[in-house]
Amino acid sequence: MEETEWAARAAKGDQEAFIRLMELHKATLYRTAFAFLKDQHASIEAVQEVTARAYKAVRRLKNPAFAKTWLTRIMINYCQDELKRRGREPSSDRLPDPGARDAYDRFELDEALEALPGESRRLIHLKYFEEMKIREIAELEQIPEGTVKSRLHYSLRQLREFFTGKGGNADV
Amino acid sequence: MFEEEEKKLAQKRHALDHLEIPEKALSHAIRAGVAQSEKKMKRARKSVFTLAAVAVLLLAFVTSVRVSPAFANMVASLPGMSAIVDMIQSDKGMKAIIDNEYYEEVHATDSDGNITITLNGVIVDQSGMVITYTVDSATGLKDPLFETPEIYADGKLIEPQGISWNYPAAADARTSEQLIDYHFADPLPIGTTEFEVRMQIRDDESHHFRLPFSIKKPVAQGKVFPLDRTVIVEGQKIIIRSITIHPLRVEVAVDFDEANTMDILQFEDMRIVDGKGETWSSIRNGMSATEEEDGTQIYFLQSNYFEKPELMVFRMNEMQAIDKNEKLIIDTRLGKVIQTPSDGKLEVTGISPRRIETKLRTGGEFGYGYLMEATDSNGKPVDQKSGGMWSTDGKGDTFTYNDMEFADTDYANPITVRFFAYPNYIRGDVTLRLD
Repeated sequence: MEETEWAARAAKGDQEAFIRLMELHKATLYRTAFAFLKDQHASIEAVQEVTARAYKAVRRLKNPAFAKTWLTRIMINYCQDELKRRGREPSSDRLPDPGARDAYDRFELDEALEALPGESRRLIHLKYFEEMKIREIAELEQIPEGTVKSRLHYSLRQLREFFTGKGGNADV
Repeated sequence: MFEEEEKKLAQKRHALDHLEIPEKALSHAIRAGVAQSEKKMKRARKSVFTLAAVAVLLLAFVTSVRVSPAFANMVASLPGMSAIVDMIQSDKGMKAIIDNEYYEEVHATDSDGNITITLNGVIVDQSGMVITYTVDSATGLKDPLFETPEIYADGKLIEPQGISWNYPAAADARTSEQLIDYHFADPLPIGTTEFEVRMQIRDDESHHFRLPFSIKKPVAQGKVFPLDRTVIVEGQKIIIRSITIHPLRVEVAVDFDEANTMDILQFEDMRIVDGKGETWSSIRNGMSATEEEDGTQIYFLQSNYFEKPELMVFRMNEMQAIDKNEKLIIDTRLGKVIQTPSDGKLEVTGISPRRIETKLRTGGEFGYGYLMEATDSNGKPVDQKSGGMWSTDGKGDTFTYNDMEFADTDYANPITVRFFAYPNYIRGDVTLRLD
């Protein structure tokens, strides 16, 4: 059966269909969670919480074709709340392997991403990690495509400023 | 232009793609998430119909009335009463109604061949009616949708102040017991005996039912205490107009002084206490308050109609209040939030011309839907199609979510949303003797 059909049946309250839908998207959702939370345990917990929230709201999923985007949005909301709740203290499990240059880059990027305002970070995430099209992001964020573009541009500039301004010596 | 940044992002994406996926743990988390959600939904499965001016408290965190299991079993064994056991456990007035045999069995049934509705019993007073009924269907209902029911007295529609009914959770079940809680906008004349319930269930098609019935027990006359007393809490003037005691509920009519600097929202501990210290507090499972056309607020307390205590004192100490300058203003066309309360507890999470979604940090159990109604920039109310609220009781911060869906986009931006509840409090000691 097609993903859309599972989603449509889930939206009508079919629990098994909903679970199938979640199974289809669990890897994506886990990756999203991990991109934000950087921790296996917290990311699994995120999938559970997002399942609960989505199940409760699934009848309001108007267009089953957008089930994945819809779930991604719930996940990002959850992760951003979770980060806000935790504050910004670095956790030990994401300390980089000091020998690896690209690990260092990634770590630096993580720092930069965390320094971004919530919306900028979300847009960057959707565009570069979820590889969504501008049109899809516009739909998801309920803002015009032009606005998505200009905000993405602005977000990338914020990233650059972070790298050039304090990038090399971001405190850990 | 941003090659360097994009390269870093691509590297990170590559790393994410190669992330090891804990398949089993995730499957387990999905099952656990569904179970967690089901548990919560069960607690909040009332679906509620709101009139423009009616604010509704969705099922809150209920303080249980002490009911012995034997009593609960006895009640559940009466025809149609299992639906009412929930209400008894959260409402002392409802328990007294059963104790005093004010519940009346009625017999009416209507069928369209596929679905059969049977009324089991009613509780009717001047303020409203609670009806229990059974839905039977030969094939089982797939995804039934219960349309707004109507009640007629002597052939005329009784204007509702608000109606709530159970969400037909027992989908696929052949038979299920349901309940309607119908509040009357005006007091029902006490001599009324002839009624008719009309309801509609949409499954794959529409099913219409008409169920006429008559009652034998006289409609209890509400006891009115006219008060018109002004009390002051943290500088805010509150006028208690009157208190009316019906079997189903006590109605407390309250006005606020226009010069107040704060909007008073919910009364956290409005109650009636008798000489022995017994307390009747707010109705927590059902409609908690409503607003009259003239702006008078009516709050509902559990009833002591049958106890008839000699001494009755009306008390309250804590209420939700928000400064009149603290507003929620949104431009739904531009998708812009213009103002939110300055305490930062409220966040707008979604805006479209037909719908707004918000999230409120409540710092503990809250239990209220907090958005009441929206008015456009010309001061005209925006027609609301529906609203939803749910809350998470996670670790750490707790949040309540509330969204509003508008009937059309035919209004002038920006819109201002009024609060029904808000987690900001003022305190005082209000004591009024009723006699």
